[in-house]
Amino acid sequence: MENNKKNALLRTENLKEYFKISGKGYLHAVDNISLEIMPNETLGLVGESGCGKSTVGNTLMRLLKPTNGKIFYKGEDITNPSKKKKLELTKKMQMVFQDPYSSLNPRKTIRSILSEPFLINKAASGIELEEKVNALAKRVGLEEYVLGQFPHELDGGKRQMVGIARALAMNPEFIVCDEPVSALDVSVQATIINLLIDMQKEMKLSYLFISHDLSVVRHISDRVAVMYLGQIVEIAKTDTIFSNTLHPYSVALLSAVPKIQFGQEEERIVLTGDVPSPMNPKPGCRFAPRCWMACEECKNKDQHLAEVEDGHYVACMRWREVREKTAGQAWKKGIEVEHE
Amino acid sequence: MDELLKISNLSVEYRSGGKVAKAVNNLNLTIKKGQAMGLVGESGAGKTTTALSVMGLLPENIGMITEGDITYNGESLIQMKEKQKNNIRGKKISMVFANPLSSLNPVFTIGHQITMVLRKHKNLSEKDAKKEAAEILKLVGIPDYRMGDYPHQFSGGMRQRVGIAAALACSPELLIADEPTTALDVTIQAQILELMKDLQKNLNSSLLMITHNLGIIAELCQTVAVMYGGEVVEYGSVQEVFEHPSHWYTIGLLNAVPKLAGERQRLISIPGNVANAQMLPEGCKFHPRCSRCIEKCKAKRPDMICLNEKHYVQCWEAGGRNGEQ
Repeated sequence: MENNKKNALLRTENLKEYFKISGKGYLHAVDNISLEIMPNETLGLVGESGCGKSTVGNTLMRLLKPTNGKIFYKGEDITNPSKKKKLELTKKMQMVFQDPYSSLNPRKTIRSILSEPFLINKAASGIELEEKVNALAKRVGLEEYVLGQFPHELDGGKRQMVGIARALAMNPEFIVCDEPVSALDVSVQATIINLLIDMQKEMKLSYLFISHDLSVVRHISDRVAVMYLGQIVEIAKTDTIFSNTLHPYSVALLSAVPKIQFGQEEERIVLTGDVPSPMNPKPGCRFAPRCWMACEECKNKDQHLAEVEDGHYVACMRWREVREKTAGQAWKKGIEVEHE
Repeated sequence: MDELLKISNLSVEYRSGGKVAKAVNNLNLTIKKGQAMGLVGESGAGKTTTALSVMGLLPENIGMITEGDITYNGESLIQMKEKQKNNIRGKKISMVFANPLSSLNPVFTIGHQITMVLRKHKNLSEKDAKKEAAEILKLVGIPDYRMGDYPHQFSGGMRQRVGIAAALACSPELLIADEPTTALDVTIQAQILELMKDLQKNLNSSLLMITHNLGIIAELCQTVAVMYGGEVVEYGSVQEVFEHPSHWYTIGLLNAVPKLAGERQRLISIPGNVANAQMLPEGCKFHPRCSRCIEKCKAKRPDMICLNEKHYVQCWEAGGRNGEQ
């Protein structure tokens, strides 16, 4: 753990992001999140809409000013950087957005969109710039004729490739991918996921991969963090979290995914109700009102992440019971058996 | 089992500004009473157009049926007069739309919108209709004190339930659900799926489930039809098709989705783009993207062949294949 802290590429310490809603109080979008992202690692971040996944990404990118807490990049405090420092950081930290329609300027050609990072950072000009943009496009698999086109002439997959190319322009070390494949069709989705994996291998990148799709997260991540109402409730290695799920919310999420399997009827845990509002949350476990395991104590006592097994952190005091209860579940068996 | 809905040789075109898009081409589908059928395919495959044709809701003067017929209980829906159709729509066949925010009327309370359906089709008095609307909302898990609320006051999942409640108000014989859970979170999706499963069991209604999520089909449906370029390229029982996919497009789709179990292998994407309805290729519509394309595929559209009584496929290269993938 201590070692992890030292070697982490990016680290947050009790990060908080509250939004003030006039007359109503504070919306706790991100509440006390501490996590590390190691070099060349992909950390998956899953949860329902409104749980604060994207806010974590935006705060790490410094698009939002954290209310409280600290962000470290290679051990250096970057919570409140100077303007100059911020520009320097954007070379190393980049973002790929969900919607490839609204994240590209519709009035610029792809060439000029991809030239921008080089121009802003005064990295190239003239013929050199042209060559660099060509090489960049080639790297992500865009044909050269695409460079002369406008975003509206491209389909979703190509557009997302442009978004990825733009993020890669300055050879970054860390990229926040905020639902990069959610808007795409299945066959295109596979192309983009493969591209992200290839780029990571080639450029030794670290990703924070935000998604609500558990199977995509499982496919791409080394470790997975599950978020609920602004807090991380479980974090572990990907294989661990999918075969030895310990938080009741993660269990419910996994059980909710429709699966292609025949012959084994599964008993699904269906959560009732919607995600409660993150306005002025009450003390006690935030998941307790919807939890299928909650007791009186849960409702009153705050739950904190604790390391229950090697590298496996859970914010639930009843994790042992969860493990016992889910041991015989069909979906869990299915996953374990196929792992062997 | 009786045939409830039969779509035979249906072709639909969209015409606007001198351009013609062939959205559906010679499509055949049969749904039996009490059966749940899944319709899968990527965007632009013609899934929604098929549903709208059944409902008679194609955009006027733009979308038109150029060929084929749709019969419901033996009666042709296409030749039917609008007035007669209005008696079937919402009563015998109803539809749940992908986006509940745009399919509900924002200026009426949800209670009013459901009461309206009941008064029109069941000729109930205001009071009785209100009472029944409350019952139906309770069935989908919305308490009756929320009947006076407007659509914008509900969350996405709740809104979709209102959409489902409105569609189920008259206990339809056929429910068409067009991507009913795409805009929702997995946990809410699970709630909606359980609800639809229960309803199908209790009311013995038929279901046409349109989705791109193969998992949903596996859970909810007995039969599945895979669409590409406005055609059904493969259909059969869900287990048969998913365990022994025979069209190269179906195989591609199944390979392209990351799995929740098993080893994490590199995904195999399908090269190229979804067929453009404005310039569909000759022969098999999938041939420009197919790894097994032969000369015959480019020239001639394959016929639907029967692999066994539960499995049909439209591919020249599928017949002689023995389980290889």
